Amino acid sequence: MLLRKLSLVLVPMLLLAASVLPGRAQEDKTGRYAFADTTLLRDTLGLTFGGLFRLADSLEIAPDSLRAHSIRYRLALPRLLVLADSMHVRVDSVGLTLVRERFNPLAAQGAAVNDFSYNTTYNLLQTRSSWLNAADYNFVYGPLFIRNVTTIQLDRLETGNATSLWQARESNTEGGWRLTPNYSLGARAVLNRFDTDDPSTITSVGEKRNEYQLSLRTRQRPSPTMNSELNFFAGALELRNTEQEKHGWSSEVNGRFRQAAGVWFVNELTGRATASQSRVLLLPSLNNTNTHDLTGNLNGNMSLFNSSRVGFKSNYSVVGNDVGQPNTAKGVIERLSSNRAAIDGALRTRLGPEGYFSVTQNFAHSVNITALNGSTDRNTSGTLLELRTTYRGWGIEGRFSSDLGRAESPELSSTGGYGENSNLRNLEGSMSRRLFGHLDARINARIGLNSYRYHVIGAYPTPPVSRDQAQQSYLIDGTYVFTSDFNSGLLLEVARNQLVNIPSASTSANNTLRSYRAEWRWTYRLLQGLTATQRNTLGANYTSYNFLTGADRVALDYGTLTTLNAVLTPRLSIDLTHSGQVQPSGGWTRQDDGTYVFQPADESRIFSLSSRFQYTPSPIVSLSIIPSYRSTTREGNLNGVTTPQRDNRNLTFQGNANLNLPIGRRGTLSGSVGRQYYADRSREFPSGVPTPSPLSELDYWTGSLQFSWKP
Amino acid sequence: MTMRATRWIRLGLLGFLALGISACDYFRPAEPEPPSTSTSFLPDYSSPDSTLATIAKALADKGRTIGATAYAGALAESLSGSLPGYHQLFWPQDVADWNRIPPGDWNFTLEQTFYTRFIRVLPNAYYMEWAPDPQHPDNIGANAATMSRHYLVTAHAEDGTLTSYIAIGFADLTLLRFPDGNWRIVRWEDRRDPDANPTDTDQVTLGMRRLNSI
Repeated sequence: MLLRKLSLVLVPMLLLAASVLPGRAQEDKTGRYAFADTTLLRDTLGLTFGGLFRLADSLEIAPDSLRAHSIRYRLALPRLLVLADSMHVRVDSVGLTLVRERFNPLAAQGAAVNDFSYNTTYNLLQTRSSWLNAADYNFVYGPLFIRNVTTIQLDRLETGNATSLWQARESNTEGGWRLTPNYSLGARAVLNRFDTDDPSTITSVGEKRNEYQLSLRTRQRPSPTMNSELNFFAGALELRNTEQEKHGWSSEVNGRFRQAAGVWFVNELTGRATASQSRVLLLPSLNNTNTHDLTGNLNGNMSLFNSSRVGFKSNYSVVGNDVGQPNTAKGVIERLSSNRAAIDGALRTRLGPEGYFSVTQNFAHSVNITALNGSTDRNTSGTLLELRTTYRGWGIEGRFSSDLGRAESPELSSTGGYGENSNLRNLEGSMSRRLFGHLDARINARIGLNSYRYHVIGAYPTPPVSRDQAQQSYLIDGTYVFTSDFNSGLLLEVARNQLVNIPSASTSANNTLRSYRAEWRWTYRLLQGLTATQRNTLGANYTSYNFLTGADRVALDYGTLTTLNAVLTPRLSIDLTHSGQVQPSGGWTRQDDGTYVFQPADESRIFSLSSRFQYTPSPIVSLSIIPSYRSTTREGNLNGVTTPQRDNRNLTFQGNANLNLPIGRRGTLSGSVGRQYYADRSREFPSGVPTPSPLSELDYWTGSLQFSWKP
Repeated sequence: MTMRATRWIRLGLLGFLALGISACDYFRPAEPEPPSTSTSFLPDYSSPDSTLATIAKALADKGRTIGATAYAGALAESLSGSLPGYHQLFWPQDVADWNRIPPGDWNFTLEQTFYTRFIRVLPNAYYMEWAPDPQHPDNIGANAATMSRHYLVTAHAEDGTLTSYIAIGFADLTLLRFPDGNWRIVRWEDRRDPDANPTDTDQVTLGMRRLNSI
């Protein structure tokens, strides 16, 4: 036991010889982004994110999405922008386009290619481990090309004393000959294997699928403004699993089309369709039957005058599936089908150097048919108005949305089902600016109403209850920056939520929740490298039931959170956090004179103390140790007498090592490995007598390591 | 900033303002129907067993009438104030299988949310059965009771045929009798039923259903 606990400390220490994850934040200094999530600005994997919010605004993409694209493809923001401009694609398509072109045999320009990349990832959780291996090989010599993509995933799951395995393997190999710069002919083999020995099944379950196909790849460029690709695959199909043995033919067509005219018009289209015709032996009934599967999707986007003051963007997609699924109990093939078509259009105009106003309208229609619930038909349409601009120093944001939905599921039971009409409306606005040179202020207001109406189709015993859910809230937030070392802020938030069940039989649950929250916070740099932050909150939630007397309640919340951040050396930092929370609650009773009184029912007191030690000895490894202790006490009040109900203490200890380690010139080892220890003990007080529970402990390794190698 | 841009801003602001002002009714919830004077069942908490029977009726009600209120009324703290709280404890293997750290204290508020989610697991009618646990005899006093019960929640088609299990297990319960004479649950300790079929993923404890409802 001692060794296990010691390993929490020893493991990070042993891995000390390795790196770094700097977590330094880079804050925007303008008032407009004063309330943005600055954790997104933290450096990672050698990437920096300065100017992220401003850039995301101008690209009309969420800051976290932009950051995620940058990290996933390890491209710095400026590099990402340059590539998007040069390839004439959207920022979020840069990575995909690079990967696609890298392995496109028709994109090879004469030079011999012999690329191999390998990625392995190992994830370790308390009762599950997962090991993913992926290899990618690309060989081009003159007109000859060979490509292989292989992935193997091995999972282990522990349930009780049993361990089950889940293994999936997939290999896709294609070889061919480039007949002309725009045509190639070849063959490919797509092999899939799946095995599991889940102990809940009597025998192990496996699936084996093989497809051997001829391939034809083509590329067209009918004019300087248009280019396209069209690929065909067709061949034999073989599938075996515990439900069926299938033999037949399968085919696939995929392609993409792009048309651009100057800088004012771009239209991109991608699509894929697969079809198969097979003879199936159903197990265990041994019935023989013919079946077919069809799947297809078409996705496109069009932009007009994208870089002009007024522009238009549209996305459209069509998806259709019609596949057969064996029903082993009945010994037949059941059809599952789904279709979806969606289109949206956004008209946008720029407002000033960083602002815009846009109107977006979308429509979607979908039909799903399943053996369990029959068909579900859904139509939706939505309107979205967005405004973001600056006006006389104020950052202004507004948003209005209205979404209408109509769905019908008439076959949920043998006698019928129900339909739903929904109407969701939301209006939100906020203003922020820096006042008097020192005060960052923000005002936000929001109102919304979600309406759901249900009607029975045929006979259905338990349709959902028709209801309205209304929300209103406003928030005032201000931070006064006294000096660069000291700032303090106040926040007030008021919200009102209503639940209105419409049918008389369900109105007893109708209620209104009024919430009030106030916060005072301050940050002070006591010494060079030592900063203190405190956040004090007051909150009250009043719940009143419209048609139930004596049922109203109130829950109060007083909390304080204090953090000390110490940067002892550029490589060593320590954070210490203490929090306290007191939460009384009880009845909110109306007296004869019309006044309300609080009748205490119970009270929880929660205190916690946690710290975080982070050591970054080099740019390739960082170590962190995070111990935390939490105490919860709950008391009840019965007839004015306060008695203890339950208390709980728990201790959590985490040790982690984060790596970003170059292996030679072509490999990288990244990820984290750590150990978690959790101990918990409670005491109950039946009849006032303390009864302790046994100590509960969890102690396990966690980790996620990725090794990648490429030439 | 150009005059044109300024005009756009003003138009946008005016649009939002007009929308906000004229939208008072647009964002006003509908008037509900007057409350029904008749209910499908009457909650009864006059004895520990009638409290459990009320829970079974509340689940069968599926929130159509007074199910949610009746279910809440069977749990301590409840809506009448001045009462101690309700706590649910999970079976350790359920927590291990869930593979996340559960809430530190599963209390009255979480239990209320659980009810609204549990009744939507399946569209079929629910039926709940309580049965004595012969291995753990009841200890019922004047104002406190500890009792173990086996529970089984099943889903049924309209013709009454069983379509699937929803929950199965044991509950070690502590109930207190409050000054209003009603018995309410203050502690629910969940146990797995060793006879539950492990190959049927619907044969899980209510504790597991609670965890899955988060």
